[in-house]
Amino acid sequence: MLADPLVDWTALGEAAGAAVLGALVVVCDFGLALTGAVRMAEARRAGAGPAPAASFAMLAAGALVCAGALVVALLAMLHKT
Amino acid sequence: MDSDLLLVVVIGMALAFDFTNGFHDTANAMATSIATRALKPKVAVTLAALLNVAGAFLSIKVATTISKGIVDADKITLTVLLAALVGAIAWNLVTWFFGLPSSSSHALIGGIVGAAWVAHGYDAIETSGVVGKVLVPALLAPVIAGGIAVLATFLSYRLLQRLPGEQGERGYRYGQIGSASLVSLAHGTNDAQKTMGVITLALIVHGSLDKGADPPTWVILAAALAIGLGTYIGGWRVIKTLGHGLTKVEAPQGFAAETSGASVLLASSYFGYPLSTTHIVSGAVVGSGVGKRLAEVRWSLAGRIVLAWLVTLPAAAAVAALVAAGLDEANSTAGPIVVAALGALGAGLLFWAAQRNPVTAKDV
Repeated sequence: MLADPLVDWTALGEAAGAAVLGALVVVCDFGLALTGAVRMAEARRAGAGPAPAASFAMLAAGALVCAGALVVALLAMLHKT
Repeated sequence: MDSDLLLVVVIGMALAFDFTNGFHDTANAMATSIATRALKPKVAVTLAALLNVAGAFLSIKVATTISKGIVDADKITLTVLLAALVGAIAWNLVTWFFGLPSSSSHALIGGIVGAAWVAHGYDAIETSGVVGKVLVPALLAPVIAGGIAVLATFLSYRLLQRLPGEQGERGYRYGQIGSASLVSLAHGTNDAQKTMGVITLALIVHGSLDKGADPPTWVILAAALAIGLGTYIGGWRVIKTLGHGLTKVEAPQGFAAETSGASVLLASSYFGYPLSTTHIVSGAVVGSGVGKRLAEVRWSLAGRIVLAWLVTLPAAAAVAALVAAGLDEANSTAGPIVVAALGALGAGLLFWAAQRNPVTAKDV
């Protein structure tokens, strides 16, 4: 506890927690969107008609979350403490 | 000493510092994207430059408090600022020469500490602020970013395994462009404003602006252009180190590293515990190497980089202290001009020496 006055552990803990959450959410959802996009392209190449709804849903959900994360990032830049 | 002339020299030096900050830190955002060929080198630095300029205008929160909690605010004079900037520029150039990523903010803080110490004595320094705001974060930032990047890289490769052929890799390259752009934009909001803060502080100390005034438009524009130009020139030596030196970066690793870096950078700024972009991204790149199975991390280079971070503050402080002592001793109008001339000569010699072993866009 000696270092308590020197380091703002609360701010640091909040920042670390938010960063872990933000990074992992974006990585997982980007992966989800990518998987959806690749599967849609594969289905189109194989001539299987319209892309499966599940692939489209993966792409849409992943892209939506990533776009949301971008908005949060821009807001964070505008509202620095 | 003519205070008008001193003000002009301080503003010139602040813009020179901003320029070196830009070219030193291009690597933070773009090194991994260049390494994986997600972006061509010249396209990458152009994009980073534009986003840095845009970032400079994005937030109105100016870092006039760069010295807050580090030195006694009343002890900041134009001479202290000039000496601090010379110390920071010198350290930026030396670390660029050796291709070592290091924090421009910490160099500037080191410069302020050294100059204030010589000008006003040890009492002007707030030691707890130096430890809490500079030294501890320098150790924690790479650990936090690195830990997150390990997890992010592991997850990215798990997801990549489920994708056929080259399409996954290509997708991650697109993702890298997005995450690297975010780091560039965030860098502009943080670092260009540091220079705006220094120039605004100089104008206040000189009496040209009232205490607590916002920076004039010309200051915002000049700082934005200086960091943009520096970023565009591209510090290829540091880009080479971050993109190829620490670990062999593949697209999923680059995406994971930049996403982790952007998250830590933005979260730390938002929650009021700003961390160095350089420390964050370097830690994230190492983490991306640890997170990939069988990837090699060059720990000896990582150790050299950490050593440079620990030396940043005392080295910049020592140069600034020398300059402050010289200016104090000379106490003449010629002093700032001599300092500027000697600084330019030193920078020129370093650039000339760098040409013997040049690193260009073709080498990264």
